[in-house]
Amino acid sequence: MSLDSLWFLVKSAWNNLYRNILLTVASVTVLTICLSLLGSTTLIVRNVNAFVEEIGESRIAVFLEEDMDELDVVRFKDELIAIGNIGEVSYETKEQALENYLESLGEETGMEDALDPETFRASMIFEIIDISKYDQTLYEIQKLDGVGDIQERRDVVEGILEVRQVLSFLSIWVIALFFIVSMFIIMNSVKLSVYARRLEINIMKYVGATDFFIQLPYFIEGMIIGLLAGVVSFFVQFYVYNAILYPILSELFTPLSFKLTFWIPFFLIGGVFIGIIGSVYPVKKYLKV
Amino acid sequence: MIQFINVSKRYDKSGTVALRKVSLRIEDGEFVFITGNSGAGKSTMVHLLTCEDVPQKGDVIVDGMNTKKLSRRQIPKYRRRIGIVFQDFRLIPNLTVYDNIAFSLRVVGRRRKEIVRRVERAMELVGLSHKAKMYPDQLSGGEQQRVAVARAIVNNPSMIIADEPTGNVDPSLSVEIMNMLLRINQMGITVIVVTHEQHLVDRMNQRVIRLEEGRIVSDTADPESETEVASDES
Repeated sequence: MSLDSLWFLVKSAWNNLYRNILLTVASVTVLTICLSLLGSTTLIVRNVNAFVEEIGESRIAVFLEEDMDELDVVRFKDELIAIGNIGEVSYETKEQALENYLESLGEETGMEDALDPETFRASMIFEIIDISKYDQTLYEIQKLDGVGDIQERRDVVEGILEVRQVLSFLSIWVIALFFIVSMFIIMNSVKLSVYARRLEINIMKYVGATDFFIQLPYFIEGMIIGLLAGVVSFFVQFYVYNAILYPILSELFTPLSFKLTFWIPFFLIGGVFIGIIGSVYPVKKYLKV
Repeated sequence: MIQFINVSKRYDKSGTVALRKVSLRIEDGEFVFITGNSGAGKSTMVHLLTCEDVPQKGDVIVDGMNTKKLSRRQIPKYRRRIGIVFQDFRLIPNLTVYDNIAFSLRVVGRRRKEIVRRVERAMELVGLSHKAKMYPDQLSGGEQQRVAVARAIVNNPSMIIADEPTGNVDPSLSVEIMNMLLRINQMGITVIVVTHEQHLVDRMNQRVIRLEEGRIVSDTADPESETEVASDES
């Protein structure tokens, strides 16, 4: 294809969008909502994960039975690691437990001499990597020899899991719904512009333009709509997150920063992709060449 | 060369039989009129030639290609060999004369330089170089049809099909359009003119194929055809 033809295609797609400005605005708006929702859910899920990581609720402390010698401890650690789905395991001796305890009380409480390390228990401390397999991992750990007691926050983990599940369930449906709505809008826009351009399409057919060439302006239109929606939703998301959500979230934990290297491609590629995919079916349906 | 071999075409929806066992042969570089009343099958012949439709029976063979056997991908390439002129001109109103003619080159992906060169030549040929920047509604019917002719020839087709080209043109200008088509024919391009205007046909002194109810009832190049039909019906 020559440059002149390509220019011709882009120009005719642009003219078309301009001619049906109201529909273009509607399509861009719906697609923007669709993309912003997609972006928000991704942001929320990523932040929930960051939150979990930071407050360490997936952290588990396994207290060991009293009668274990050093060899037993090494064996236990190996077995624990073999289970998988757990992060780096640190071993806390009784002395370290005492030290940590005192530290948590603050300075100079006068308790230093009153407490004996023997009142504390040695423990293995680690994090569960994939908290959706929390129960299963915990079950495996309980079966190990030498487990005295396990300290864990199942309630919190379950809460987080539930929130995450509801979120992803909702987001899938909301995104699907908006995608369908935008498909309908793009479909209507294609239908109208095929009607408005029936003379041109007819002539194109007679002078031997290929089907692909006749359909291309519509894909380019879809792409431009998607691109516009991508740019708009990027700025919306950027503003909403940095100016509104970030300050609120920082009260609770350190939220993720809005990484431009991730979010710019996310919105632009996402927009173009949805724009093109959204126009394939309508074009095939209304543009029988 | 164009060949119709025992071509029959019937429209399923209406049940009308448009063509009945039509056979004919048009050599390269010929000028042919196809005449007949409305409903005689003229438009169907055009549709079969432009590959909008295929015959139910028989074959239409153009330059050695059987139109029935062309794939969807081959049809656009095939159509580039044919230039079509319509009764209603079919010019795009928001494009200038130049762009209307260039349109058919742009949509088949020609290069800019080539487009400029060819469009200028085509405009010269139809005598409209001085109106390149005008829009269709600023031109007379005759001029609009000349633009349509320029658009049809700009892609160097081997054949021009003009479907009632003078139907919407002032009668005094009809002859002018015909002479232009004749000039194009003299360049070696096959020209097929579909018309029901007998007075035009009479004064041009070219081959005339006459259709009636889907049959060829006379062909000046093949006087036998008349008797053939007669014997067919007896």
